[in-house]
Amino acid sequence: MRKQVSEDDAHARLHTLEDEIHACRQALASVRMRRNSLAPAAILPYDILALVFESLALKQPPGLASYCNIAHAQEAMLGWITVTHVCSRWRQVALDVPTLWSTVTPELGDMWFNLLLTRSRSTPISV
Amino acid sequence: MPTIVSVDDSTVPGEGSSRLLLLVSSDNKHIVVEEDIMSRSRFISKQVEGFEATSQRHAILLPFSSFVLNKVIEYCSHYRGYYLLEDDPDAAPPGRSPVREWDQEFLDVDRNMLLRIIKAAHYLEIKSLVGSCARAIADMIRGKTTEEMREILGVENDFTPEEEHSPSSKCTG
Repeated sequence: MRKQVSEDDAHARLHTLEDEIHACRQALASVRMRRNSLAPAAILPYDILALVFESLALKQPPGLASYCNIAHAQEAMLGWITVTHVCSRWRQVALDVPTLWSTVTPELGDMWFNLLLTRSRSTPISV
Repeated sequence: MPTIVSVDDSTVPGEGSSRLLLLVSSDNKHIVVEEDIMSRSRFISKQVEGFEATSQRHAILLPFSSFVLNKVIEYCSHYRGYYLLEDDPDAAPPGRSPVREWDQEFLDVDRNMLLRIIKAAHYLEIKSLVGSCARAIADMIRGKTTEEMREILGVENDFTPEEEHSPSSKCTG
């Protein structure tokens, strides 16, 4: 009985600590976002970032891992799309430019095929 | 809205047909440049049109340093008299900016300088320079991992735990 209580107690403490870790991660994200708000590359005007991404998309299209020197194969396959993982503002801008997503790459699989169709909105598609 | 101040005629060298402009940088350096050189800038051209309407002489205050401004003037001087499609307000925008070898050497600068130049070019509405800078930044991060991009450009991962693990987030693109 005493052992059971102890396990319950440990379980509860584990939950508490996980909540604390989650809160720390939230706080860290918030501090990093504030830091990014002062980082020149993170706060470039919308149309400049869009131009950078368009330029990168021409040089490094998804589905062609041989274009890059990336050791991480999954990231390499995504090509220019990796910019959407850099920070929240870059992601926000990239998702907001439908022309970036108008080249559908079957090599990435069905999930990506559908995602690209959604993100390209009403922009004409090229496969 | 641009910031402009009135100046005495004596402040601006050159009279009448010489068409000199006085540009004032954020570090309060006064740089005199021929209007013709800066005509590639839509921003400057619009300012000059405004001056002509009021027949007043003005200095144009710019929100970037003389170091950056001189770099932009160097670019404009190099292409003085050249026709660049991207800078033609009457032309259809090109599908992609052409690669110019001189630009690549000109923009072989560190990250911070490149970011300052592109912001200045954007402010001055020099589309050809903005396009070349955008390509240079793309070249910096081409083929790099997410973490390498952050390091190169000094950006932090600011995604919340929820964003990191949401179905439409980085796990799935």
